[in-house]
Amino acid sequence: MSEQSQLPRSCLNTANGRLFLYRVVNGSPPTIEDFTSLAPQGKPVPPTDADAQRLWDGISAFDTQERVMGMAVTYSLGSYVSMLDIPEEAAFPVRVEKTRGPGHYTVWGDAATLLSAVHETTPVPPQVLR
Amino acid sequence: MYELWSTSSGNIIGSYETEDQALDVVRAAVERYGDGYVDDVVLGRNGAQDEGYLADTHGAPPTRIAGGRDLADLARSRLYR
Repeated sequence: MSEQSQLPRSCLNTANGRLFLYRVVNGSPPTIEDFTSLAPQGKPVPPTDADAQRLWDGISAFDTQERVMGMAVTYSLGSYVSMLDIPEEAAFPVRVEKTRGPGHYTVWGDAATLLSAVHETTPVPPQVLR
Repeated sequence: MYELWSTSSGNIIGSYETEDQALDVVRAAVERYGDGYVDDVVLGRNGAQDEGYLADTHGAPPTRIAGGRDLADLARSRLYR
């Protein structure tokens, strides 16, 4: 997880050598499908977006629960948010990189491994579901 | 910042500085793969880029601009403005 050492640590909720990121999922508990990137789904990369090609086999996650809940509601992405607890250990086969807009990270790893990193899953509260 | 989201997978397809850049990508994808490409795609605006650091810090909500076939139509309409 060499890229993690280059992350802006102040922007992440890190404690005791662990990295916490948040992702929209469709249910509680989430399933392996909730951690599948665009690549295995067979969706082609937009032909004119070179950056998308590099990130296509990663999944989107965010630095705060509040931020990802806003995305979930606005874009109808899902009704739950999972917190991923990612150990900062070289043996844990997940890679994280700060990409795209504010608070967004791309996470690469086997979907089953990412599912195993789920620490908790919470519903998007009714007051957020406007 | 303008973002294209895959709503079926919960992943960002791309992020762009302007709406026109995002719509250029949509138009190229639709021309290559057909309108069905955007059936699960939404274009939104994250307020942080235009409204500054404080807006992002305080969680300015993103705004949905268009999705699905409406997004394809919007991309085509911008070409002929």
